[in-house]
Amino acid sequence: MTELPALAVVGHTNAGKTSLLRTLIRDAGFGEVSDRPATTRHVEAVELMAGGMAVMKLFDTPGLEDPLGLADLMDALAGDDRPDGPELVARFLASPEAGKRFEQEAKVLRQMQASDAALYVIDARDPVLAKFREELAILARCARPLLPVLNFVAQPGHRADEWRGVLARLGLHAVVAFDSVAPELDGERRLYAALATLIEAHRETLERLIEARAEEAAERLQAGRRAIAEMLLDVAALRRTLVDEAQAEATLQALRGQVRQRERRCVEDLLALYGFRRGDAPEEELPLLAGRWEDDLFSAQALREAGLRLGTGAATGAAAGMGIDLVTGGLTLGAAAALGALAGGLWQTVSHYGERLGGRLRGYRELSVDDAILRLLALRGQRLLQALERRGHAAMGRLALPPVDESAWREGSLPGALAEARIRPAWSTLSEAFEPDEARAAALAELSQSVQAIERLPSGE
Amino acid sequence: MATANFDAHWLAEAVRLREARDGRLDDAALLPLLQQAADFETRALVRAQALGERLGWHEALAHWHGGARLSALLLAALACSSGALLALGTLGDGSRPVNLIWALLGLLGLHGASLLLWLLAMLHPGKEAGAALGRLWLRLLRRLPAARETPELGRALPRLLARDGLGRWLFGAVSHGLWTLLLASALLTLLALFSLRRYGFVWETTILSPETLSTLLSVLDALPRLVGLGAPDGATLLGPQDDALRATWARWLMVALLLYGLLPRLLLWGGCRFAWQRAGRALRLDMRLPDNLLLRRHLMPEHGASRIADPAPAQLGSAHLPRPAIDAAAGGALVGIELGPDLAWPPPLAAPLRLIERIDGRADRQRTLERLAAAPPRRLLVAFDARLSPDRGSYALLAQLAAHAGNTAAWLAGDGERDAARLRHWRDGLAEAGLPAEHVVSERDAAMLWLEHADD
Repeated sequence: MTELPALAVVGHTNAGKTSLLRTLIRDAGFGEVSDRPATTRHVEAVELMAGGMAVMKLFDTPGLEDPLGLADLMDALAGDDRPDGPELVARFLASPEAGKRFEQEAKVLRQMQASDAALYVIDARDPVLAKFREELAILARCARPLLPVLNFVAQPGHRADEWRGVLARLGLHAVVAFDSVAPELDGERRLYAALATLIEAHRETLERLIEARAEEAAERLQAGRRAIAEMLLDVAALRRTLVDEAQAEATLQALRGQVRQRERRCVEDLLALYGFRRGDAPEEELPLLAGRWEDDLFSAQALREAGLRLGTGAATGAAAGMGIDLVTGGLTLGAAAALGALAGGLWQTVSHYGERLGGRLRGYRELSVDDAILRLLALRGQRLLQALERRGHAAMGRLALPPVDESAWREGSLPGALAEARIRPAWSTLSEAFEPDEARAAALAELSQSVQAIERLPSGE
Repeated sequence: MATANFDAHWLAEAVRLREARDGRLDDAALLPLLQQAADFETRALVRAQALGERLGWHEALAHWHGGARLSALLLAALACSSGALLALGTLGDGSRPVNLIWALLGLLGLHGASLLLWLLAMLHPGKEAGAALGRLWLRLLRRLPAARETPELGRALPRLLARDGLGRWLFGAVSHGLWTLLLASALLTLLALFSLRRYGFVWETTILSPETLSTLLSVLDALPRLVGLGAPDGATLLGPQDDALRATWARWLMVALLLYGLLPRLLLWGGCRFAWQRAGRALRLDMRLPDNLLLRRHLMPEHGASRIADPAPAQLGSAHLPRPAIDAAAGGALVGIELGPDLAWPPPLAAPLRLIERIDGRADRQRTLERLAAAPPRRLLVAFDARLSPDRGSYALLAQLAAHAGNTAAWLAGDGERDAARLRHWRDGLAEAGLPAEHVVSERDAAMLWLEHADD
């Protein structure tokens, strides 16, 4: 394997070629994108990497703008001797118009001849006009494998089916739908898989690329689940001692503030993981989130919307989220925890429970976060993760994916790891006495498994 | 104290904590150097080394190591003296005979209990492991001044130790090592005491029967018998003893301490130390942490630098509207170009027109041009689908059509809801092509009105 596969990205002006490239190379700063026609006027090359190694060369080209005129010219150049495709293209490139009126078209055709294959990007909202057919005919003359890519399929009113029909009649059966703004999560895989069948010589490289991307996606999902699990652990383990009853309100507000801040941090982490930059508003691309985004964590409305109810002992409204845990001297230890506490250093245990015991003897109360809030955090976190994983699907409405089974988090008992976290304030990164240990790492791993996200998408259309 | 790999990961974790709090550190100068490494882990570790040097953490790390050695020495000294004191306390000064079983329990009791707890904790993976002495050592370490200077290193250490059981092996090694020292020093002290004082051994009981003694002895004698140094008959404990017998019992006591105490601890120390080193070498970056995934994106970009393969021309050619045809007869014409199938066509007209055509392709264009050439209208209205993107081809077509008309206007049909910006581009492009702004309309009524005056 000496050379990298070269892929030209061609299409009518404003079809979204540069946007597609940006999505494939994961860089929103590449090239220039605007709604003006003829934004890209040069051919720009960029190498796609996977695992630190270059795997493919991509070429952004100017948009084709006058296929009818070019078709006229080519007919004139063909004359009577009926040259084949590549010969006709050569004649065109040698003609004076290739440097003047059709300079941009000439760039595109030259690049096509220098590439192994081309992606023909289509704005699927446009009707199938004659000029697009002429474009395809002209591009076919370069004798390179052509893969049509239907863009803007996440928008309402697109005509993807019509396009597929026409493309099939032209002999182009491998067509990929890929909305460059909100692509389906396996859209990339299907694109590269289709390319792999078109460019047999570079099949292995492309399959390697697909594998690398799949690994990345799996890691990303794991990291997302872990981020949510850690947030839950931190909040479950958080406690504040209420020393002075007069300070109750202030302490309560402070506790809520910490929890809100922690959720915000988790959300930022998730968004960053999925490629949103700071300040990007995710709502447009995550239709599953609509309307649920801004509810305050501690409002009765948020709880109601999630179908949760507060635990006993807490009134609605102002008291939402305040679970007053009358410390029973740490005597709620389960058997396993007891053994762990004994074996794990009498020192640490005594100092840890000693404080709390002392607090109780002095009549202090402890504030902790109610179970209902934990459930709400879990549900919100999971929904965000789902929405990020399913980006693009809801708008396309093609696949009826089953919703994640939320009943476990809504009604079932909380996972054991959270129950244990409640008696270990040292597990919360939000408390000053934070002390990570093996038990916390194990609990975190266990909890990550309880955080659900959708399964990987079924393959095929 | 630790392998080089452990230190490298320690630095990497500390850097991660610092960046999580303060944002990405400035590593622009390092990136070219990092490109040479093939995989992400190497790049991340090298980067952490370089950043650590810049932050002065290498010295801090050296202090940590020094502190670790110092505190280990302190604890070792403590262990040795405890062992000696233990032996001394168990045997007493020789004025009273030593209760054999009591002495054995005294020497091995605490050791046995803590060993049992450690084993139980080992069997429960993930729970807090035993090795209290080991954790004590860590707490001592964190009180040293080195730990105060560099809080990130202090916070990174427990996190690192919580992974893959590293902590349990380290603490286990320290714990067993200290116990080994303690028991060894107890053994040596026993040896010294037995050499320099005279001790007698008895068996005393208030409620147990003599058979219990022999049972106990035979149980405790299991290991010493295996190595051929078994206990003498238990009955000898109850009567007077001669020197040879005393020596035998003393020897048995020491052998029991060795086999039940020192040896297991020594073996466990060796095992834990080996496991610690192996785990240290096998340590890898935790890719489940979002921070590490983002770092990988930063260090292993998904694409190389882009380059212009074929530069843009200085200017693009564009079409221009020709001068209007002079010999235009009266009448209006309406031509629709590439209209979407959902647009109502033809639009309702007040009066019939000479020519209404729809162009989608070269054949249509040819036919329309021929008809226009045959009978040039005074006013030609060209309708475009404003939802499409304007392109040079559209303007070129407009120019071709306008050559056969007296006056040309453009109607941007379509609801324009899709893109107000696109409508603007159409207007800009048409203006550039030479069509005056008043000849560009987007409402149907205004367009029809213009056409109605075609006969004026």
